[in-house]
Amino acid sequence: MTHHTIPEAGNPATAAPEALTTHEDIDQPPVRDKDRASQWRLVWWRFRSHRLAMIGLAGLIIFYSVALFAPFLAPYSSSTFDSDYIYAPPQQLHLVSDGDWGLHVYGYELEQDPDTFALTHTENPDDRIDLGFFVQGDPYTVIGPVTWDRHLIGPTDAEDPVYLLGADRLGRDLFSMIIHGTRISMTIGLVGVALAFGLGVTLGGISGYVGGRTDTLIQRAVEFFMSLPTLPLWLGLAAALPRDWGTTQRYFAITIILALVAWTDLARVVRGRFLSLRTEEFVVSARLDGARGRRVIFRHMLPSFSSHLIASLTLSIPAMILAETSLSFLGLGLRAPTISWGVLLEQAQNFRVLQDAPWLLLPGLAVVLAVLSLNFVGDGLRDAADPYRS
Amino acid sequence: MTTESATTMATDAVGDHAGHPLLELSGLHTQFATRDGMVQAVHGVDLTVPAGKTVCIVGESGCGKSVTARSVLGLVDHPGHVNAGHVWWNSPTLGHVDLAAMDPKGADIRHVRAQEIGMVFQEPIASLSPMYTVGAQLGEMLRLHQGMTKQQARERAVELLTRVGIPKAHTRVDAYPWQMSGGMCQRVMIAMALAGDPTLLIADEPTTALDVTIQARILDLFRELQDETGMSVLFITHDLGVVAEIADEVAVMYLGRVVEQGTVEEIFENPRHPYTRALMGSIPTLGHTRRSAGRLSTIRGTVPHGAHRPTGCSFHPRCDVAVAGLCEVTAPRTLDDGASLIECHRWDPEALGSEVELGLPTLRREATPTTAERAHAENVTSATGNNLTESAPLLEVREVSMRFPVRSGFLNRHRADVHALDGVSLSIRPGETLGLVGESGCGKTTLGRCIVRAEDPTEGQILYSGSDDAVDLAGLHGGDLRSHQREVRMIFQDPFSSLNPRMTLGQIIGEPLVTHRVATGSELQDRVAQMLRRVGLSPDYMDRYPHAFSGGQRQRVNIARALILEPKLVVADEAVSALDVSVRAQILNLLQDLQDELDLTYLFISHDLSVVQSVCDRVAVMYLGKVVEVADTQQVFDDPQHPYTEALLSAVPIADPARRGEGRRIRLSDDLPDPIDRPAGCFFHTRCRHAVAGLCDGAPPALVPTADVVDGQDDFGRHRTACLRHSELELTGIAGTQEADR
Repeated sequence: MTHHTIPEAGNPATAAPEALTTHEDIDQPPVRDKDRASQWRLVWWRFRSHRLAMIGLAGLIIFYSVALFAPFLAPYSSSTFDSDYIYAPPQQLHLVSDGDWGLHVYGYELEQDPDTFALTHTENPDDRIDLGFFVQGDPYTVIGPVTWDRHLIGPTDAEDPVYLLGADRLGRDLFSMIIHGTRISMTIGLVGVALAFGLGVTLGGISGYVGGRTDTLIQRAVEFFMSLPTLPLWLGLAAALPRDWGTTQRYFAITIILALVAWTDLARVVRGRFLSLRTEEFVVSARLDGARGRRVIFRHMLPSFSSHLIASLTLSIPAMILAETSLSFLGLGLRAPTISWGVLLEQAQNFRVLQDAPWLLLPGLAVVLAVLSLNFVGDGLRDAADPYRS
Repeated sequence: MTTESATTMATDAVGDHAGHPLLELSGLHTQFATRDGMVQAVHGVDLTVPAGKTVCIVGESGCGKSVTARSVLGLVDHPGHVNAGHVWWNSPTLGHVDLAAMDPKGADIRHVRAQEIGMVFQEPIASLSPMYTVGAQLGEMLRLHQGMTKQQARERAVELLTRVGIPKAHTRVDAYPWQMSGGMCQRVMIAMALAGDPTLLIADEPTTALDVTIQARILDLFRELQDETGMSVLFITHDLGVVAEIADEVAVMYLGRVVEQGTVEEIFENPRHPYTRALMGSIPTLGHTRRSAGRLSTIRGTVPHGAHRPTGCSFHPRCDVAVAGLCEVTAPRTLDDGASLIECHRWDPEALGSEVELGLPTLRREATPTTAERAHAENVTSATGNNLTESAPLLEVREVSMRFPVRSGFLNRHRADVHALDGVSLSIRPGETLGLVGESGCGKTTLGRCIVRAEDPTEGQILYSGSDDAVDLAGLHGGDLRSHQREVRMIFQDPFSSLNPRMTLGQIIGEPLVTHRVATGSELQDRVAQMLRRVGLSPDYMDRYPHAFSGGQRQRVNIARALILEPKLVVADEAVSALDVSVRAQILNLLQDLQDELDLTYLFISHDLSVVQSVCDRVAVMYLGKVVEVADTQQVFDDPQHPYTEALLSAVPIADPARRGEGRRIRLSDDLPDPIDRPAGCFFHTRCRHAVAGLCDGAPPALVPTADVVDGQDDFGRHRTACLRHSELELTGIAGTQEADR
């Protein structure tokens, strides 16, 4: 777009009133991208300069891709186990041995303690297990009836044991388990978060925009829900839900019920924003422009804090992930055979087991990384949310 | 410490290092690291403050006035810092020191801040903590810096509060800032600045946030304190009227440099720099009415952003007398003849070639109109008045009241009412501009908002006679209201908060067309483009967002939005108050041109009497929710019939240093009565110098026509006042002060 050059109006003081149709502001700055950038573009530009947030965003993309392609990325299926390799330690990856190139690990040599019958695994340099990409392994369903059996990485011979991050107490590959667990852990909270979000925005919005008696009523409801102790509620619900539901189903039900309690914080924030925006001059002027209620809300008020809402949404997902992890760890949330990071961590409850197999804590690392990524992104969004306030 | 000893101390300080001025800035540079790169906010300022004098720094916003002041005390906020230059301070205790070289967190500069240089800021209420009493805040400083005991500090605090003119200081010392008015808070801030008996007081726009009546009293206070203590004052303001009232010397700043400096008489009588001249020309001065003064002169464009400093002379893009090939190439040198200083090629014989004449013609300052001129102007006014009387009022406000309930307690019980409007009646004829003036809190904005129905008045009628019969706007709802809101529009005060930052100019201006289903698609685009051109903006701006524009440009957008529905009546609520003087003149001219072009009727709400006088046909003066006087502009300003109007007029600073200290001042006390619990009788009697006990606190006065009738005036245009004693009082208006002047 070329810059519009404007005929000089001369000194406006001496110019006749007809000169009005020409432009008085002659020293216009050149057009900058910024001038035409919409709110979201500005938010993105700000977000981009937030380094931690960009790292978090990369992490987030990785985590959700892993969740999406879990069966393909994991070397083994979630049900594969081998009791010979209970608590087998992580294998080291090798690239070269005996002048032979190729990604490989060494197999285990098993020894059984004659007194305790405990198995000890030591790596055997003579037993070379070659790893390959896109190898044939356990079959899995892609979509519906479509199945496939290729895995991104795995032993070239599917029978060979490969435990890159060690094995758990059933002899399952922890690496595969963490990948499979990503699916549940990263997604089970989303529905609950979305539900709480919807409730919070709607009720808070009504409360703030309508005001008066409605506002009082909704605020008292908020106070009631805020006073409910969540952990006992969770415990009670876990006990009260029908026994014949699957564990995932039960957990899903619990998150939804918890969402019914968790909307309160957001409702208060949204109400406050509405209250302050209602008297803001640009909202008053929108009303005077003839905009009706719905248009005022959705076109003028909501966009001015939608980015704040997205930030708070991002920041509430980690809470759900942590809730899942801690409840499953306590045995109240998800349970085997469902696989989630929390369920995997449940195995790490026993201190003696931890001493022998510290790698069982690795799902915890996944939790930390996922939560940090989300928090970084949320922080970045919050900082970038209002590009008009410097 | 007593006042006497403070005086001696100050004189001593002057005597000690006689070779140096009290404060001397030399080559001061302050820069800010911003997203747009390094911005040099102060770009080589040389300035001296002699002992015992008041030096005013004047200029538009963005010229680096405040940053200069803050740089003196090392108070520039991050990310700014002083990157070059010296601040030589002739300290009574430390000797001749460079404040810029001191560690901004060190003990020396803290000593200077606490004991030697006091500072007063613009927002008095924001500068005081609402959690502590003013006595506690003053006392803390005294205990910390002067090692006083609690008891001593309290006594000294009372003493200081008395000194800054706070009545009943021994009880006020225990008041919280939020219990005091803005003027009182500013006095407290001044008391704080005086606590260490400073030899220099830096005041950064100390009266900008205050009403004109309060401003006049604060300026008096500065003068009194200076007479008493002999301290110097560095006073920062954008208001040339204030400069004329208070300054001994004036420094005009533009884009981080002092472009002209001299004594106040020199600057006002013979301004040399084109920028100073333009500033002088763009302020409406009292004594010039709309019909006599015509259009205001303006300065083109706006102050550029510090990151886009023009090459050569930074003022050349806005300068009418710039020399092509010179001004945009080389920066002018500083021409310093010892007494005054100027930076302009037009005054530099070396830079200027032979083809351009040295200097500029003496500025013809518009003389105050002679009596003959005034009589002529009055004839013109009454002639137009006659034209106007032929039509019935466009808008008639009848007995409108607006009460805001005050609720408190457990069950939110209704305790009292804030009376924002109390039985206001007004009429506006088609094609005229009615000014609405008064101090803040008098209800003028509420009245404007009731008329456009942004608020719903509690009682009363607002009769609007647009195309058809009179309709009561106050009783309309839903679609009926919306269709009338097309014809009665509002221009908001704040050009920043009134535009949705998330919508493009096209969307903002087009919004009324969309909501009223007037136009869509390309027709909408065309109409918006046409409107943009009308208000002096390029149609190319349609797809840009408000953040790309300056305050003046945004206000044009606001005007475009108000006018796109082709309204008949426009309520301009302090539409130019947030703008710099040069831009303000542009917008005022635009409003007047649009009025002529589009047959608009304005309700012009403003606290600035000189602006009101220059644009309005008639003026209504409001006090505490009531109209106390209404008449033709000329009559209100020449022959006020209400003591409040008289006081308002006398408080307006006049941009003429020669007329300073005429003793014409009528001062109102700082405290407005509480709008919840109003005085009995005439609301103004608590502050009125003409009030008579037993009369004025009895029955409330009604708004009645005065005895004097101007020829050819019908009943509608009669001068009305709400004062019981108006017929016996001899009140002075602007003309009166001018007669006294001669």
